[in-house]
Amino acid sequence: MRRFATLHRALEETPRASDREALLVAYFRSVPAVDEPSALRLLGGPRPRRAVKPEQLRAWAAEAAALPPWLVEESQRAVGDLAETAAHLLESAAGSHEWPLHHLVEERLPRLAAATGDEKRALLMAAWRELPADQHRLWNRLVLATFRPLVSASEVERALAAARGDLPSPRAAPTDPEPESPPPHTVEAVLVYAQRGEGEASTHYVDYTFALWHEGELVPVAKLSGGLPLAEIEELDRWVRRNILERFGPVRRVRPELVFELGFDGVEASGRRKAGLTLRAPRVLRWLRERDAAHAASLQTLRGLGDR
Amino acid sequence: MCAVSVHARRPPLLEVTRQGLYCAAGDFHVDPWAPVPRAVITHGHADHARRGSAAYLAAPSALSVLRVRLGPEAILEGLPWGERRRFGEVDVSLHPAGHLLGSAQVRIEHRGEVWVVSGDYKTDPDPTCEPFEAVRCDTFITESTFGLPVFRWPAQRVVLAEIVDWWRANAAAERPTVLFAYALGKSQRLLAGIAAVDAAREIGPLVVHGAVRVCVDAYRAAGVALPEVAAATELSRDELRRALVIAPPSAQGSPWMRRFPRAATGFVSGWMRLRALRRQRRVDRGFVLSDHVDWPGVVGAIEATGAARVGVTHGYMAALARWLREERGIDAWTLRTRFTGEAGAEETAVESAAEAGIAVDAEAVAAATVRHPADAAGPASS
Repeated sequence: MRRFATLHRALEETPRASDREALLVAYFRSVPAVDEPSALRLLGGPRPRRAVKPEQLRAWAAEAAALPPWLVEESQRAVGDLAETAAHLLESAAGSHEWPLHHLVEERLPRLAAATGDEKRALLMAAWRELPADQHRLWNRLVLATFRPLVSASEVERALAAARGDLPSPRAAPTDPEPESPPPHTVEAVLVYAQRGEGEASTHYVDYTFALWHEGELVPVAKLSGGLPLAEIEELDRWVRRNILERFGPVRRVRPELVFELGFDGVEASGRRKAGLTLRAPRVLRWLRERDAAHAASLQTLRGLGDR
Repeated sequence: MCAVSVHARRPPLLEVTRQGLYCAAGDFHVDPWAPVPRAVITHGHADHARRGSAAYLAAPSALSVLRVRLGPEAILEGLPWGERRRFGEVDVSLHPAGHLLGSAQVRIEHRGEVWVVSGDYKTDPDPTCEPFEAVRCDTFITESTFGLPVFRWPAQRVVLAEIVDWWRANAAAERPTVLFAYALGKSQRLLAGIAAVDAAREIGPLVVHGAVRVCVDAYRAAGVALPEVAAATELSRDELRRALVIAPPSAQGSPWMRRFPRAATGFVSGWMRLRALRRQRRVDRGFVLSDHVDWPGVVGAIEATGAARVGVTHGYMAALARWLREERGIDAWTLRTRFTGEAGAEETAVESAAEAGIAVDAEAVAAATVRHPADAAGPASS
């Protein structure tokens, strides 16, 4: 549940919608497949029913923290939220067990909801003893059904599509062969603009614009985010910093020297683009270090691929 | 309880009057909030050190700060740690409170009965001030700013490392880092603590707001070693993009902040423990570091005094007093004072004005901003 707790905490403290979506995308790229359905359920519903009543949770928190119940009530008045209050009070009694999200949401929570009396109390106290302190607040909120996703269904949908679409599957272990079939088309393009990411990625240049040659000019054809191994993102970030030619707001025009292989599913005509076309499902495949920018592809090669 | 019978036989050594905590047997006030003939001052924060009294007594290391706070005309006298001074029928001595440089607990002895007034205090280590000293007494007057069990401070070195990591990431993205912290005490503790983190000094320059600078100078005058700091005006835009800036909370949203475009902002306070208050501050990050005792700290400090009677002042007074009575068998009661603990705004108003060379009517500032914490009142926003 660590990833989800971290996501939820970040969402709570991130006011800008664009930043929230970046957090969601990053989350969906990293979440283990087995946890994804539980995450989607929490973010989109139907959410789990209340497993423990507030007065029960308050009483058991007092007992676990060895405090008189009235002092827990005073504390809740100061904190404003029972889930957070109980998390603070039991911080020093917390555990270090990293349970997967699906185990907690699909197994422990229903079992807790179904239990009664002493068994309910024992199950909740066991969870408190096992879970790390910084996951308690989220767990208490799930238990009390006071959890709120803080994002809309459409934000979740967009983030999920972005996480699944734009990038090679992040879920494959680095040594595994790429499970996806190779893209139908590839093209060698030049990096022309770079921009910092949002939220957690705001420290690095991770948004790249790629261009192809057309009548002696480089014409942008795709703006992509990430897709490179972390070490290359770092290296590219350092290169960008040293090779900025111009600044337009957050966008940096860089020396047109580096060539990347892009994969895409097809080409669509677009009157709004200077290139007159857009790539369908484009992604960065690799950095072609030995390639010279002068030998990158021309727009002409794509025009032949135009879908009818 | 026997403590009650002692109390019944003798009048209390200290009582709350219109001017503040008053010791009739010695004819002096502790941290008075109105002018009095003789004031014993626990520390230099605005809710404890106010102008207008005829004579002040404080720890020697507090004097440089108090001079800034109380003005050039004030009559200040230092009483070395532990040294006894006779006032009327009582002996007074000062003992470190660990809140900030020169912060003192006031020990008052009258015919074998000992009272100690804590002022504000913390038991966590702080390289910029004398460590808290537990003083045995019959009656202990304690603050309760964070006197609820939800307040439990994380290890200081962890918080400092988090601050430095955040600064490093901001600097790499060429964003200035601005930390809001109280100008007196917290800022100096942060400067010393951050400079001591491995490789922190390689990230960029340390910059302080003028209100912080005044207190840095006062600390240095008292012999406390602090890292080099610059004013924002002394550095180029490029240098400021890698800087860590420490400013009082009152600077947030002020025109002064325009010097730091795209700044990442943080707030350093014990209140940052609570999510609702972190959000209310409208900063990017909240860091939990306080110059007050947390719950384990206040309970431990009270036990260490061996006091049978405990008077609880500003903060969660009623809750702490009731807990001491019911769970520890201590004769505890609440004292309504005008101290505010880590409430903030009024303090920085005074410091900003002092920095600008404006004579401050502390009473007027206090009247406008000091809240009277109702028993068990929450941490009302300042």
